[in-house]
Amino acid sequence: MTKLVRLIDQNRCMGCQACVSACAVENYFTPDAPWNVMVEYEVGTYPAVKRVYNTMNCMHCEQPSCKAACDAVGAKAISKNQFGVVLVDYDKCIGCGYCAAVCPYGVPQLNKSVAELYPGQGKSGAETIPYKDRHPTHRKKAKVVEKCTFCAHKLDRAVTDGKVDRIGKDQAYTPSCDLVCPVQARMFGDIDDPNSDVSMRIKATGAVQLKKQFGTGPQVYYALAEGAKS
Amino acid sequence: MKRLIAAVVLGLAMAALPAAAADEATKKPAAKPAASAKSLDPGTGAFHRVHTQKLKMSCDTCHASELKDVLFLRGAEVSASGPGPVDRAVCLGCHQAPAKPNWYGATK
Repeated sequence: MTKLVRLIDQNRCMGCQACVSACAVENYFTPDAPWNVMVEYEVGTYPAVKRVYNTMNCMHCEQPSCKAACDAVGAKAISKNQFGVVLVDYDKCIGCGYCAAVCPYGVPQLNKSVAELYPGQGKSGAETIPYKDRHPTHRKKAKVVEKCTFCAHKLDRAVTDGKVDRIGKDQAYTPSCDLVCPVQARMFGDIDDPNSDVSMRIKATGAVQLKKQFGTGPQVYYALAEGAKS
Repeated sequence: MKRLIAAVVLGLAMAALPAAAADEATKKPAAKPAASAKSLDPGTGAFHRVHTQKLKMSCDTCHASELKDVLFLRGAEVSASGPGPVDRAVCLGCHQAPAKPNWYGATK
């Protein structure tokens, strides 16, 4: 089995938001419904204070509360694929917002309207791809929920090309946010492979999941900075 | 003769079965989603109605007065004039099975 996870090292992150920008361009999220957000807060007591940068995207939980809620209301728009990636089917979503209400990480975004990434400046980059030619996760709709997909369009391409073993290694098969980090604070790969870079680094850094008390089993790990919240 | 009549009756009954099943299927209403886009409306939405009217819970049972939980992607959605965000840990007070969260139905 291949279980894809992400590692974010807060000890390396300097809050530049290159990952946020990369996600915006790759997935052209609308400004009101970001898929990746940089959360910042301070820890310590003056004068020994410091800033913690905690970039947040979907945690792709092993027991996703969003999916439980969606199934409970009968929409069944949320699924988990063979890599453990949690995806929303825009055609099935009824826009009730229950998934947004129950997610402990506040991830699902109920998109009120499909807006351009740069309003008033025309379409940019991937926005120019005709609707029918887009990956299903990029066929945006108003009044449905959307969120980070671990760049599912790239993962699907890896499957099509028979290059699943190159996920997290080749640019074409790795989420864009993980590619652009200038300080290598992000890593993506298969945690079921004990010899993968991400597995070894999670072990070496003692990285943990956030909000474990909710028991949802997130597939994003954080190497916490000293005093950081988890 | 008796065998012939029995065979005819059985044949008629068998032929009628799929038609009856089809009738039943057409009579059955399509599965209706239990929620709509208005479910989260503060005044009329089912989410609030269940907690405030049926369970008689006050607003501040769920809504914190300020954002305590910074590890929340949609932190920006909380308006200054609103009642504050819902601390998901409060939800788990009721909606949690012994081993893992079960967000709906486990309010025993």
